Amino acid sequence: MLLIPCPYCGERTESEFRYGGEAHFRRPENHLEATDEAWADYLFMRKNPKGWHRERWMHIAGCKRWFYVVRHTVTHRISSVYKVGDPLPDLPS
Amino acid sequence: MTDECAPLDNVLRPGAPSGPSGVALSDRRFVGQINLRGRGEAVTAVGAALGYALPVEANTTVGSGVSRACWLGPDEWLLICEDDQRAELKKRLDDALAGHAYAATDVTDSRAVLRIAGACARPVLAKGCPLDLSARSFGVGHVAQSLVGRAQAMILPIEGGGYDLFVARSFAGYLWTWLLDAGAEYGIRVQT
Amino acid sequence: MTQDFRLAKGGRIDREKPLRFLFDGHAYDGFAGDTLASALLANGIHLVARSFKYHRPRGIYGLGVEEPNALVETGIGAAIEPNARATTVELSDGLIANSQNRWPSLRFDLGAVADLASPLLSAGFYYKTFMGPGNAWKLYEWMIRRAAGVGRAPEQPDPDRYEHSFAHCDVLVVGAGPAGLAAALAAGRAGARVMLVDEQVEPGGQLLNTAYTINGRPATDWVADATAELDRMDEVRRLQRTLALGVYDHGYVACVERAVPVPEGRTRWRERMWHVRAKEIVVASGAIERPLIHDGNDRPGTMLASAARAYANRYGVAVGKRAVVFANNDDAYRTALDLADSGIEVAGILDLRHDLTGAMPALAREKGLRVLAGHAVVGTRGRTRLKAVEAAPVDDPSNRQIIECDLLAVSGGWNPALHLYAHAGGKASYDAALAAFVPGSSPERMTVAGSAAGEFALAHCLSGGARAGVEAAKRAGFSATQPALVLEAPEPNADTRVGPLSAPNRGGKRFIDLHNDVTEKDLRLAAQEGYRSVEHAKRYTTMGMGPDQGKTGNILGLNVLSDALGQAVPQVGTTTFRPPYHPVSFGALAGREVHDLFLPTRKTPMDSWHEENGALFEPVGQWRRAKAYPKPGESLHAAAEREVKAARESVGLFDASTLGKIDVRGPGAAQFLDRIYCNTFSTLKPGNARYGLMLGEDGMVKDDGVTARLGPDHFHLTTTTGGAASVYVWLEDWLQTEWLDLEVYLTSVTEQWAVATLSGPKARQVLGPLTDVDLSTAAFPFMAFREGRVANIPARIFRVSFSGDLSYEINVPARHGLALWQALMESGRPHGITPYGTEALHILRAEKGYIVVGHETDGTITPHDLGYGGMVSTKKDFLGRRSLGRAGMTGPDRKHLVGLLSKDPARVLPMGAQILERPTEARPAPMIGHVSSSYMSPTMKRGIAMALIKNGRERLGQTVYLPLLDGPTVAAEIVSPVFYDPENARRDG
Repeated sequence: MLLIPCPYCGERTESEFRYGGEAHFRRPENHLEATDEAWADYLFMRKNPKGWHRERWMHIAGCKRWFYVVRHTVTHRISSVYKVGDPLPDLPS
Repeated sequence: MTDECAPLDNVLRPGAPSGPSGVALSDRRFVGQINLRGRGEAVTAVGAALGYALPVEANTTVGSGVSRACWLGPDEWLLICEDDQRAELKKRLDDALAGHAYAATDVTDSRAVLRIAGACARPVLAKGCPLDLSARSFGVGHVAQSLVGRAQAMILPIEGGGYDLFVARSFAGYLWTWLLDAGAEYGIRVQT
Repeated sequence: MTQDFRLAKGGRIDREKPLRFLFDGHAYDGFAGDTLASALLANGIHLVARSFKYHRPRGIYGLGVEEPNALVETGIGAAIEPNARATTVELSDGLIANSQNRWPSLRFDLGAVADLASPLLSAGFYYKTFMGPGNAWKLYEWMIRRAAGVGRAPEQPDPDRYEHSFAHCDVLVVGAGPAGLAAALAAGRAGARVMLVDEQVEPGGQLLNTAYTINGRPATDWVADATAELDRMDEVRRLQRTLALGVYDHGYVACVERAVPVPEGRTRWRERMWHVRAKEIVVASGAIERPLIHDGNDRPGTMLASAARAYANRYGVAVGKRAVVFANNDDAYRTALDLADSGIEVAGILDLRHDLTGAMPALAREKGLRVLAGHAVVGTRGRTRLKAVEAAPVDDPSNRQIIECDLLAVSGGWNPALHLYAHAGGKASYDAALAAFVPGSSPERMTVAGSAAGEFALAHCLSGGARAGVEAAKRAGFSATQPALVLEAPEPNADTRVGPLSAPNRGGKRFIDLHNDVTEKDLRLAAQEGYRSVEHAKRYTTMGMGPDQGKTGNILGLNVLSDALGQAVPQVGTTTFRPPYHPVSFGALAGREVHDLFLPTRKTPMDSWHEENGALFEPVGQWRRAKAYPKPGESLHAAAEREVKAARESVGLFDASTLGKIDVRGPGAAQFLDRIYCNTFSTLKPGNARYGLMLGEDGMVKDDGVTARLGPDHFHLTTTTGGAASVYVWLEDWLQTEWLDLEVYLTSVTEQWAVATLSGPKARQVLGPLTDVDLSTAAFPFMAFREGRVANIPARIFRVSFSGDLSYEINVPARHGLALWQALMESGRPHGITPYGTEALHILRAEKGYIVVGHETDGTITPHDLGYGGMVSTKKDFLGRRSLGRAGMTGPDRKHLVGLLSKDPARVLPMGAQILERPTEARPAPMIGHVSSSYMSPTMKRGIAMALIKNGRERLGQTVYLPLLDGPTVAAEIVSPVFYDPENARRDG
């Protein structure tokens, strides 16, 4: 049971949140003209790293905001959280 | 007007557990609620209409007695008033916000408000609420949205100890049953 | 029965409070403060169990959760608890306990023939023997499970109540022994919010079991002082009888508290699961003594040395009259001395070490005890109770001498209880001098202190605990200074190094895992057969896989493997500790999420009317919805047929309150909906409504519903009942993270509005008298929306239809839902108004060919597949548009939504049935689609179905075949999915 520091509400338990998968995968520019490969990459391909991961969470039982979490997928350590539009924090080494 | 039916009218039954009651449960029936969303200057404009500034600090509430504004999110508040004041409140908001982008929505009927009060209200709530409810971190002036059992709820600490639990209308029966069950250990009394 | 083995004085039991209990039907007496184990021992009962596999007689072996043998059944009837450790069951008046895994009796157990066959039952026996033939394993398994085993599960529902509570603290201290108490005091004095959980009935840990002194006074005085101080601190919460089961992420610790037993037997709650969230955790969980490997080491009367001394010191019980202590370390001399002080004759101390230079052996000799250096137990005598041990020099094992005794107290050193440390991700390292794993670097939020950290000396436990408390409080944000604990704990046995773990082997049974009957020989066989990893050897032999999880034996097993493989212990590795530390009841895990609190049941504002009028409910997500309103004696099918007929021929009334509703408002609202829906909403005029299809980015249909434009920047969007929450999250996702250019505010109003749908040719006659809204087709056409009053209630009325007939969806504030419903029923009475449920709703919509998301869609269906291609805008961008142009999204391989008519009109095709192009015996049969919805249609007077069939729209008129499960293959014709009123002639009434 993670303890997630919502950037708005503070530390709350995981059951208040909904997971949204990997963050910052972008729609291709001019997506209607994107190649099938580029589009399929956007739709289906995720990094699924063993290690630090930027990911999306929504505080569904709280402020209902989407935000970003940097979490280690092995230790579950959370190094930072940030809001939409915030500069991307570095991944811990 | 036609007969009105509050969310819990069909749940309240005589014969609720009696005994040494460390906690009292009651249904506040209708509490006027306007959900307000807006950003920037709209927020300031609302302050003028309410007579006090909207709380911008997370998980806080300002106001007095029944009339108050509860922080729900960075651009969302729940304004609470007496049931018969909500049309007037809505009009004041609409007037103050004319020309701004905003959404003021009457959601009074969306939620039931259950009150648990008494010395044992906190341990009763702690059976199903993952928030840290200690007075150190969560007292009067605070408000939080979280879970109680398997229902989402807005939890508002009240003067004298206890909480008002704002819960979606369809979950009210569940939460009522849940609270009666959780309170049984401490002796729970239903106040009508 | 008298307590022959109760010492005349001493112990922490209350001799003023005698308790009577039953074991295997015999009544015995004990005292308040006893465990079942200590009370049985006080009565001279050692034999309490038969072993798991060989049914060998077994006695009480330990003191607490580490107990491998003494598993008993407590309670009767529904309250039976199997596999309770006699060592952890608190004695209460009237307690009923029984032994397990024996027949006909504990003393004479027929299952013990397994012991005679034990040479055949070596490691991997089942795997090697019961290989075939075919399904024979099912029979073998039945036989094996009857022969081998532990307790019986109760057959009736659990009558007890189990609670859950959340708790938060700055510092959680696990264990109230010397280290834990010192840590809690230090953190508490710093002002931190402290939780101190301890599995025992009272705090003190080892200080209760051993005759230590602190500052010149009995250590228990210090415990009393420390506890009193903690109890005076407002921010300290102390929980006894509370076991920390597991440490999870971010300081989350699951603990289970047992209720104080009461004489009447039933407590208000039996167990409480604590969900603790701690900023810092101090693990002061102590250590568990390990035995030694020797021949005949499972004879009842053999016991961990520390347990024997605790029974004497804490419970005032002489476990035997004449004891032999067998050891490899100095601490065991403390046991010998304490036993002797209690009046138990100590016949000798056999020490595997040759060179005994420490203070403890000297002290023992000084007290006149017989110390045999370099000696071992090489055999034991007695059947169900130890009568003597065979002792011999380690270097000359055949030179045996018989020492009569009825207690063999064994000590192989101590294993730090590192379970919680390991749960948190801690990596232990092997300390060869201690023959134990000790904690390495600390995981986040955790400190290990005291003997759990391998610091076994009392003075170190106290100072280390205090230091850990200070550090934890500091990390939790409190300023704390080094503690004012000036403690002097004299301890001659500060040397904690151990000697060999094994006595010479003379060919007898040498158990490593007493619970699972795993011997040294089994482990050597596993190594010989190639199980080189401890994880594999563990599974092959089942070592450490019993309910005790090898708390006493695992280190011995590791050393055996290490020897057999010729590798050092760290290379052999250690098995993974996983939660729970100790078995936990299902009741504690479930808590109060049982019966009507298992899941919330969401009820609509009209629910009470449905209930009072005989509705048959069905769950739809968490909602309960009326499926039909059968009259007395009427079947669901007949009720639905009657309801459909009424809605077609006169008028029906449906509770649609569960539909998801979202208020969409802001200057960007129209553009937002254009991006969300595949069809266009910006062109919708205020006062009108439109059906919309929402696609995922993959182009597949996600949700659908009608959205009305209330004003230029204001929409009322509806979703499916099941999609309400996920659509809201999806919409907020795009608004918050991608489309920051749009200012749009969403408010969920699902619960604000009660919705009653009037449907049927008489709908206008029913609604007309109740409303001020002009209902004429010209004034209020199809797909329009009006505000007005209905039954004097402010209402929003939508002229939409999910049946094909004239319909009004009437939305009122939820408090008025029931009144609206009653008014409509009253107004409709002359027209024979009939309430209908979801079953009729589904039939009505299927007759009209309308889809239901989740029936006709499954995440692989596009609008074109449904035949809704015309709705898809080519003029604007929207979510999913790019995907619709991907390869494979069009063409003859796509499945199309079609209608399906069985050649036999009376047949209702099963939903989900697979569809073949032609009948075939080939397997796998090439399938071209499946039935998505299917009903007996009262209107068409025949079975109708909707199906998704490959290239279906090009196959209209063709015959396809459905091989039914356990039935015939039936033929059906592909037709248009619109069975009823394809000309839309009836929607205006």
